[in-house]
Amino acid sequence: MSEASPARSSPASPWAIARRRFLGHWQAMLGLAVLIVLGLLSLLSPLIAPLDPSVDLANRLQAPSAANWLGTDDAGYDMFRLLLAGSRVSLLIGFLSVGIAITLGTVVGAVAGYAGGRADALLMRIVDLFLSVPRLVLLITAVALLRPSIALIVIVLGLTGWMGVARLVRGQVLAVREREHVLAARALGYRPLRILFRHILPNVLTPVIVAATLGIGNAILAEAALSYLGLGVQPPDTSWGLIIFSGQDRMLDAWWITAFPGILIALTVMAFNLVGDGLRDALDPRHAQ
Amino acid sequence: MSDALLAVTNLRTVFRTDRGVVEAVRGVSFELAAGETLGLVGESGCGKSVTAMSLTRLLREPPATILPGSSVRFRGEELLDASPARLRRIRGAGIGMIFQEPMTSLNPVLRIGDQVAEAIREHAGGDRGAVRARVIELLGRVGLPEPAERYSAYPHQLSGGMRQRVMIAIALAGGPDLLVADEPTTALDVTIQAQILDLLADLQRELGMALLLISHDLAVVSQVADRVAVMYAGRIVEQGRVPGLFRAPGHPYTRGLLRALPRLDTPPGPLPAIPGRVPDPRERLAGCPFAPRCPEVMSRCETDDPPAFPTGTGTARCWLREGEA
Repeated sequence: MSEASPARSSPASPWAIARRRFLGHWQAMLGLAVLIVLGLLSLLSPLIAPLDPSVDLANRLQAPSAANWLGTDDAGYDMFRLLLAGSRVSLLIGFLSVGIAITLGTVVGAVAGYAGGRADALLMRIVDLFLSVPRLVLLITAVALLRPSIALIVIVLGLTGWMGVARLVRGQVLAVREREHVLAARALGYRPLRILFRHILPNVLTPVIVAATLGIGNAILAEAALSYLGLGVQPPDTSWGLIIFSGQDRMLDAWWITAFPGILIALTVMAFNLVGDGLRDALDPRHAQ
Repeated sequence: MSDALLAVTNLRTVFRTDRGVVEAVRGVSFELAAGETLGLVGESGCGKSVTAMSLTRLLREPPATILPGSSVRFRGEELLDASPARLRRIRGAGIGMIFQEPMTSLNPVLRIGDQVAEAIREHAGGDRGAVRARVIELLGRVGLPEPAERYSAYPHQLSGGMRQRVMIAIALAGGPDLLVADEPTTALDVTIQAQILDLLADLQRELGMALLLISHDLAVVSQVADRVAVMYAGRIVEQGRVPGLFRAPGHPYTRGLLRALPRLDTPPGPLPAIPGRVPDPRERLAGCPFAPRCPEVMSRCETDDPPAFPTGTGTARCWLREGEA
């Protein structure tokens, strides 16, 4: 390892160093490649492979073939197109719900960690309360009481997924707020919110980015579980979990209806986890090895 | 009423902990005139930094408490009664601070130029171009080579000495009348130390700032200070002008500190240390806090706390000085 020389001319920001390390992480690159292909297919699917909404009973339950690469389901839909349509919903739910969870968790954790005292105690008891209720039970209750919709699933997944982030951020803020540069910022008369959002939070974001990436995989799994139980996405919308749900009666004679969305879920979640691990290794070198 | 820039009177700061109340600062009083340099010296844990942090109430309260009866007047204004918003105006624009660890006192994720610019915008304002020009001017003034090129450097790309220069630039951005430097050179090697001290002395002269220089190192303080205050166990035991205080120390503790300095004109060997150890700050003390370690202890030292007696160059809290000068 070489000492950073004081007069090094190339302006290597911490981000540039992390980027180089990330790009050299082959597992993460593999995961990223999977996500890029999936993301592009998903985004472009209305153009390249739109789903014909009419039921085609003459063509139902076809095994994979040249005409239908992944077969057809029991309404005659092409599985490939159906899965792409489902991917849009599954990924959307994954990203949006994690977006809510990360935002909420970061704000709660940051305020608790920086304010300390009674605010901290109160916020952390709320976290404990949320953590003590099994997520799926909360999900099922919410969906049973209200009409299931994509928006509801996003909100409920977001509202049940923020506690880990809150704890993570709180711990990091507690550590960073004792650093001398935060004292220096206070000695300069900066306002508490400026100190929190400009001088503390950017220093705790890296584990949050990792948590977000790993969280998307989890949210996709949760959505699949919910839709599989019939409490998630409702037709005419579709998602990977819903496709598995619709095919479970035909698992023996039409295995492709359940197998392909299952494989796709596993592949996607694994890809997010690989990218998440790669980000962790790149952003927090102490963690690697 | 005095016309001192800073007047600290009977400052007492305590920390409430699980294991009792720690009296970190036990009645500190000193004054600092505009443009003057006061060195505050003492060993680790004597309350120097807590004194500095108490001035603009930077300590977290709780666990810290500044006891009633304490007073910190800056430009005639009582800071201990000031509102949080008023204190924020004073911090940076009235009283600037620099700290010991140049490795950690800059925000690692922001470019150094942006960190200086932020301090300028907070206290002086100005449009984008003016702020940028002022940043480069300040970075140049503190002796950072190639300030325009270094604007977008990150802290990890600079050496410790350069980082401390950037810290000084940030502290100067608000145009303070008083700069508090808490062990500004302790983490630096000796040649850089001297450069930073020279820089502080230059800036102080040029800008007419007062400087409160806190250090455990008498050599550092003697180089730049006009006056020195020696702290022991949370109070100032002696203060006086330089070099008189060093020539004729009035307090046995000051004498012990001076004897413990390595000298070029004596043969190498173990340095004379002060026997014993600093009292536990959780203890309540009767009498003089230095009595248990004092080579010249008298019976009244153990029961009666000495007030400040005048010495040739200042004052000392020691019964030996009673009725002198």
